[in-house]
Amino acid sequence: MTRIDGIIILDSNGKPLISSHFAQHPPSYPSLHIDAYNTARKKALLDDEELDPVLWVNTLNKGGSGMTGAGLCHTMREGLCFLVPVGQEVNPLFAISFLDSFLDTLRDYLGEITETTIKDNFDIIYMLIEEMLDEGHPMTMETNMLKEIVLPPTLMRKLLNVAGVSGLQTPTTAPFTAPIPWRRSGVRHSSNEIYFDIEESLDAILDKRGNVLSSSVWGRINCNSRLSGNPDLLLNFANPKVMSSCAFHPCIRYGKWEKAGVLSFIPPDGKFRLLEYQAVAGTSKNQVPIALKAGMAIETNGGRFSLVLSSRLNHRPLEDVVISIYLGKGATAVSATATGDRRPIGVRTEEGAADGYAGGGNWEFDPHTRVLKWTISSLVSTERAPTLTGSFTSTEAQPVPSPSFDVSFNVQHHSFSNLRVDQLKVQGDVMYKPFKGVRQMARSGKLEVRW
Amino acid sequence: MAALNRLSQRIIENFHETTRDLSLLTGSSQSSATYFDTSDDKLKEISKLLDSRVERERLEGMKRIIAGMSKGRDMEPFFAQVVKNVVSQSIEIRKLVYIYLLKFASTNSDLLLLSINTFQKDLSDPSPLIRSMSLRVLTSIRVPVIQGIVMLGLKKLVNDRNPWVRKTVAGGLAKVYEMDSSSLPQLLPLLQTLLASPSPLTLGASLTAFLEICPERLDLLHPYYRHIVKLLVDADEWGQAVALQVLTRYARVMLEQPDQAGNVDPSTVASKVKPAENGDNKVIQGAGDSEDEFEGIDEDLAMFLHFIKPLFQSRNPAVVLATANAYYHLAPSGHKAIGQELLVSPLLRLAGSSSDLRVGRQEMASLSWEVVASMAAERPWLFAKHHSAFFLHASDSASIQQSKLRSLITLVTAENAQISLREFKHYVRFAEDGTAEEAVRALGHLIRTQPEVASSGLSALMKLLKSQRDALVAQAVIVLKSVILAQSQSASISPNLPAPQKLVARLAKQLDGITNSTARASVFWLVGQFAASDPSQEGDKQGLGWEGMALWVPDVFRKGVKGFVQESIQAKLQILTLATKLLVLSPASSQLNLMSNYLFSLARYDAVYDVRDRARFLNALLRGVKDEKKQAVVPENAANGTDNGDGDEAATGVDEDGEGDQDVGGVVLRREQVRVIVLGKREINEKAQEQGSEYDVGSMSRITGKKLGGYEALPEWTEDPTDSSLRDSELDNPEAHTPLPPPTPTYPVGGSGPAHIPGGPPGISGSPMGSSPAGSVPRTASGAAVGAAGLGAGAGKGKFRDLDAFLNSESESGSEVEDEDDSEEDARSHPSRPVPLTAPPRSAIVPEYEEDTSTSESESGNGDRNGGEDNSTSDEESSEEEEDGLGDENARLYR
Repeated sequence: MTRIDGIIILDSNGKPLISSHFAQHPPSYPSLHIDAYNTARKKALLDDEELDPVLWVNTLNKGGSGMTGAGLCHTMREGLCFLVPVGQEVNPLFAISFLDSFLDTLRDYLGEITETTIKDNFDIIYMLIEEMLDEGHPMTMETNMLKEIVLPPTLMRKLLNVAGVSGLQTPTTAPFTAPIPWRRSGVRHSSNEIYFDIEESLDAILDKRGNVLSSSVWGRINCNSRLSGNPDLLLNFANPKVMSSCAFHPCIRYGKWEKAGVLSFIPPDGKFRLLEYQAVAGTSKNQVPIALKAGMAIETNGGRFSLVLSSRLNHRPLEDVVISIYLGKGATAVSATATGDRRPIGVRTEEGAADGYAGGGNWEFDPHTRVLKWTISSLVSTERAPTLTGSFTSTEAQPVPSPSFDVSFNVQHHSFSNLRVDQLKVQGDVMYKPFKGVRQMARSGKLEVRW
Repeated sequence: MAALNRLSQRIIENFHETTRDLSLLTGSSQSSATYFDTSDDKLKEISKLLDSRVERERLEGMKRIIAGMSKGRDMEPFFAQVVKNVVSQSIEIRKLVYIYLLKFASTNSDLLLLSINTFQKDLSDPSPLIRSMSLRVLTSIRVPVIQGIVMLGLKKLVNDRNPWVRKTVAGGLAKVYEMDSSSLPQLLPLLQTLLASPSPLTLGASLTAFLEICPERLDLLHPYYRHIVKLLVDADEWGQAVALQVLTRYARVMLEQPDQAGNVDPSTVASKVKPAENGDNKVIQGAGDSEDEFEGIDEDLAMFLHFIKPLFQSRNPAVVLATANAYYHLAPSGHKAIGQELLVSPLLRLAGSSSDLRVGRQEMASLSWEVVASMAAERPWLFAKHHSAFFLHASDSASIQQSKLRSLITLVTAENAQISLREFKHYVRFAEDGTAEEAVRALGHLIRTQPEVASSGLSALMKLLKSQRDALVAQAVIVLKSVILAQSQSASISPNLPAPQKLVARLAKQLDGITNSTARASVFWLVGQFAASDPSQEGDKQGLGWEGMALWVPDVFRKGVKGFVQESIQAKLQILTLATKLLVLSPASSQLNLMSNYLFSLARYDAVYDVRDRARFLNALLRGVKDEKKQAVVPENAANGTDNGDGDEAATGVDEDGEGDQDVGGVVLRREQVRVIVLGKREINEKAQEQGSEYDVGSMSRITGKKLGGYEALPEWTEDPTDSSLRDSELDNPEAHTPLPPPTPTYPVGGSGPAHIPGGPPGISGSPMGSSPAGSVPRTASGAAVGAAGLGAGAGKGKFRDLDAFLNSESESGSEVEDEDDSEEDARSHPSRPVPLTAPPRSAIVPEYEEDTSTSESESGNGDRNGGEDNSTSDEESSEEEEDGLGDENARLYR
């Protein structure tokens, strides 16, 4: 119970790179899962479907006397497939959460997760898995603690290796002794700095008239801490009330948040996700900073559309605005014209550099995915609204395009919820004044406009 | 000069040498190729490397072996050489050796016995890492011979000072049990020791071991229940997930069911009146409004639910789900502080925030939505307020759309009927066929259950019939069929809908446009079912059409007969059925008889035997009807009282009916009987089979729809809850026993009260009042006493100290007081650093933790407590302020 069977990493062709922790199972066990996964994936690709989140794999039971089965949780990152077979009843999110934190750890160790980095560091990965899983039970999961037992592959270590100096490989501090599970003792940094990235994303559904049918704002605060010693931080918000149903990093003291709405914590070293929250729902319409008037008419073997886009955000430009729509199975071609203010390009735009003006942006149609994309590098509320009108053709007599346009954009230094950091106090046994940085970023999540 | 030259040359040479090796190790593609090249001569090289004296080369060899293992090569022949490396000084080599040993130990036990000694020695190694690693290998080697040694090792380390080592012990217990289940009696005391451990770090592992060894012995947990509940918040995430699972089970079996647990919609329950007197309320110690909230609920259950509330805010999705599960299965509904409703928004956050494509957690999102959908299916009222959170995005993955749509269907109420209609109509337009079909079904559900939107829903359905999307038309017809049937069965269902016959007529008119075979079959079936006309309207037909059936029916039948050859098998069968029904209704019509004779002839020579078979069967069924027609003795609508026996009719033989079948004997049914058979009421079996719904909500088996190993349904609430005094134990109030300050003060002991605290243990009378949540926690939340001192500079260290206190508290025996004090002072001078380097070593073991036991439960509450202790020396005055923040921090920490 509450165990997973192991981890398998497959390369992009479905060949196993790493397969660990199946000592208690017959040797065919991992192969069965790999095979089941590859078959399912092939079928899904062929039928243009998606894989079920959990695949069912028939296996022999331990004694080999009868058939039983296992659920196979899987995820795909950077072309690699990560499989976690679950042969026993367990919390449904257990395996996938484990995989999630395993991937975070890998990323921390290897920088990026690619076939090459995995092959080069497979010994480290095996050791990591060995520490993280004890016969399928999660053991040591905190990256900071793992780093004390399994040393990350640094250039320095490689050099030492080559020089044959292996005595230095033993970690300097005794492992397993840090009193705080998520922070090593004796952290030293030459420059002490801490950065907070507050990132908010907006999910919303807008109807034809621009009414908001449903919307929610998800926020997360990512933190990169490079502070020496054991600093104790106190993060104050000007309006902590806008955050609801939060999910905290274990370092945050829950009680203080409940009582005073401040975040008090001793941060782990390095990058980590401090907090996730949902912004308290504001009902006002202007929460969605973009307005799209979308018209679409279906005709025989095609259809015509017209889009008018405008920004409702007064003080900042919307950047990287992309409107996209799936035009149905049979869509073959699109012809359209984009119009807009012909204004000189700002510093940021690369597209349209040929004529020196950013007009109504660019559109493109991908005949493989059958998605029409209209891209505008930046949109301000004062300019004339850019439009895109045109038509598409389809082999289907009555095409079935997606009933809504997907909208995505970024806004720098903006917050949908108006969350503001008031101040950050550093306490504890530290003598230095750290450099503190806060950055806000707002972007669209799943934002769609129906037509 | 020459010397200098030579020197530089050597340096360069050296450099070349080094860099060549470097390229081997820095991870160019070449290096990985070396590892993964497992050709035979490479394998030979490995054994040379393993025997080398240079550590680096041995490491290289081990790496190649592991690489070979991961490629599936047989690496067993190297066993002997690998085992030798077990004594290596390099931790890295040792680790790889361990990995190797774990894989092959059971098949090479003889050779392995050579290395057992090393492991055994390592069990006393000063480094906790080595201790834990060697124990892990020892327990993982499943060789019966060494079991005695393993047991010794476990016993030795179960009281290890380092919680990480104890964690390994916990893991080892399960392994030993798995190998030899007869060792249970020896393992249980060890497990109990671990459960009593005051460190939150071992909690998860101990409970995991509990689950592996004796999941049914929930009674073992009695003395530890409150202890575990209190430690839970500070345990590691994975341990929390396990503990929640165990405790949920425990609560179901051992605790009293609250009045409104389970599927009880609070809005339907009459608001109950609170009894006014508090006097006989067991839960509450002091008077006060805030405590009233847990009234009527088993105090231990309330404690559990209250204490796990913070876990809703865990960053780990598995913990959030486990907490939600606990609330789902245990909590009363409509309760302000610990009601089921609390689980809704964390779950929706989990599902909603992870479905963003850019976050890259789509699998998590699909699974969460799946769980939410299963919860919503059972208790829709929980999610009613969050209706709009379920709206589908076109960019959602198909499985998320399905889950959301399922929930939306269950959430349909009179209030949101209009919105639901709008949404469902929109989803029908989705390009994804599966979702669109599901949306059509949703429309059907809406029409059937919500009268006020029925007619507009129906027109949407009818419009769909003209769609070009085959699958949708089929689905629409099928849904219409169920709507019509529902309508016909209970006339009162929705007055806004047209009569079922009218609907069928409209549907029949669309027949030419319907191409899907299932849909056409359904139409033919429906026409047959509703062909009979109301006798009162018979006059309106003015002699047109066939007697006894509606005017439009013959034409549908004509189309069916005409196109019979081109129809699909399904439709053919239904056309035959239609003919049968019509014949029963109007046996006298000569047109009908001719047409059906033609039809049955066609069917008799059909290519598909199913069709031929059906034709024969129906023809035989109709014999009685045809006889009646031929003899024309029986008035059509009279109750046939003067009938002959069945056998007689059968005997009258029928061989001119085109089929030429002989009298085969048997039973011939009369027309009325046939009518009952072919036109009888049909059950609507619209019930979509819910996959895996026999499994508990929030289990993996529910998701896969099949039973996974180890799945056990959550037990029902017990009829006979155990007495709460069983759960009283000294673990709650350690100070009752020992003069030492309590080691585990993270929970707000007796928070209300400076009154309780001074020195004396609050609940010493054997009742757990002092630490019951009712007594303490609400006050922490509102916490006047605690809030006052709170934000001081020292507060920050609270968490840190706290953990120390946990780790420390193993040293419970009074004899260690001296040591404690020493190191405590020591610790004060280095307030934030663990003391391994500075603390005076006690015996051979280097103390790993700061020996700070001064974290008392309530220095914030009363300064005079220090008077009772001899260690409040003057040089501690400086840190007094810090202390203040500390005790208080404990309370706050206690999330």
